[in-house]
Amino acid sequence: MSDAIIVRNLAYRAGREFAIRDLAMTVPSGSVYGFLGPNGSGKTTTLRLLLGMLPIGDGSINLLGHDVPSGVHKALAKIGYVPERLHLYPTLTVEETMRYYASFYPDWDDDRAETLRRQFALRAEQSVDLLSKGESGKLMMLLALAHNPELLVLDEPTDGLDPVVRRDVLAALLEYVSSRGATVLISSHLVHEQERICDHVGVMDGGRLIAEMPMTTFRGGIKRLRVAKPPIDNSTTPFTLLSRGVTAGREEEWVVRGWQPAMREYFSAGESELREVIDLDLEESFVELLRSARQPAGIGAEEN
Amino acid sequence: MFRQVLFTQWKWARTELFLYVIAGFLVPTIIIRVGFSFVDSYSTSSVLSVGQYAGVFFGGLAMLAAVGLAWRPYIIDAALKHVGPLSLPVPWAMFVRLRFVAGAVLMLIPTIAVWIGSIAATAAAPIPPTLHAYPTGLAIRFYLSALTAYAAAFLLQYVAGRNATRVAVAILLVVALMETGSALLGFHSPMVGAWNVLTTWPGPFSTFSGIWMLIDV
Repeated sequence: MSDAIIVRNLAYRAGREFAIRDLAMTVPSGSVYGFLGPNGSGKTTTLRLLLGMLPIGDGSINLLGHDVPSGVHKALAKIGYVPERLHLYPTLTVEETMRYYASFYPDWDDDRAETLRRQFALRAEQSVDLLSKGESGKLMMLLALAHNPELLVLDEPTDGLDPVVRRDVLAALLEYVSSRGATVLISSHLVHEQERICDHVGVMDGGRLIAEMPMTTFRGGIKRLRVAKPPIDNSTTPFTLLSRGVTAGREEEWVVRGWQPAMREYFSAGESELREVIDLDLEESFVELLRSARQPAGIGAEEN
Repeated sequence: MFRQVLFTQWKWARTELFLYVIAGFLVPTIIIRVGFSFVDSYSTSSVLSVGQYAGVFFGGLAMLAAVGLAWRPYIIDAALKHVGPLSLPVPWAMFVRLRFVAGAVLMLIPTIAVWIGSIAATAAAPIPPTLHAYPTGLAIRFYLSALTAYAAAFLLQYVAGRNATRVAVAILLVVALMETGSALLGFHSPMVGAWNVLTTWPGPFSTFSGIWMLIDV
């Protein structure tokens, strides 16, 4: 499987406060890649860098086989983009907006656009000014899908939409992906939504990509362990210790990544006792991952 | 592609274009009609001054139309952080060219209104045999002047971005202050010199500072 997006050592600075640092990211072709991160973590900035909307400070980006920024316009012809802040021109109607976008994309499919318009129950003569937020979101999704893109870049596409509209939009997206085998890079802070649709995940925080892995690894690999008489030295663990904290007496809770059942041996070999292995849902895993990135393991234990 | 950009800009500007058309068509007629009712139509100098008054209006209209057509698309794109144009599969420079040419084409609408309005206004006017009406020449001058102002406003907007209005006001203020200073205190300001180069023949803005004669010898 080739990669739709390859980012290496990407750096970008916006003012004094915010910077993307040393970002490396790989989105496999045909995957649905969830780009997770809290608000302000740099997801939107990263997406804009990928699409050549912002100047790259350092590093390299390859998008569908084209280098950014030199070949970005060839790549953009094969990309459907839904920005965080919807970009629709006032005074145009839905039909005029579709015609406007159609004129820029050589592979625009009028039949597909019309099918999507009906599917989303958008009236052709409706003015864009008068569309509800949900209808605007649907129109943006229509514009992103109607030219049969190989890659969809969606920045919080369902943010602020009601559950019914959200379901419609995601259904159209999944139907397209399953029929065309397209790649999707979807940014969101709605972790449960990502859990349902994504097969790869990358987590951003503070301008850094702190984790990137298949969803199955992310979902199953982060566990909370209840450990009695825990070892003081945790430098030889066979898993990645994300955090540790005292709960009661000499018992600690560890949050670990890369857990395998065979790793119980690590505890039984010493004086420690592994009392319980608790599965975390994606949201808890996400929170623990962020917490560990901001506060390395061990510090929490000292504070507790 | 160009047709769609043109159509979009037309929809944004159509209300103000309608006003320019009304103004371009009616105002010359009103000025000529009212002017001629106050002057002796056999006096060459009086008729010339009426034509001159009408000319002042055309310069103002050209400037107004130019700035409006140049700035509106940028302001709309800027309000949406230019995300739409930047995500299209065309280079930014090409998109800006499309915007520029579309505005220049739309500028023809008030120009045609000025041309037809001037023909209508002067057709019925009792112009002395020694004088002539120049509606076509005036319309060409209107378009070229509007195009010059449009290009300058467009350039300023796309270079200065959201500070374009502030930059334009600052330039005008500095020029006005220097002009006043040099008039009152007698010093020579390079800024005033530069302004004069731009606004007197063969400077690009000399069309605005000259006299617009709808009726001339």
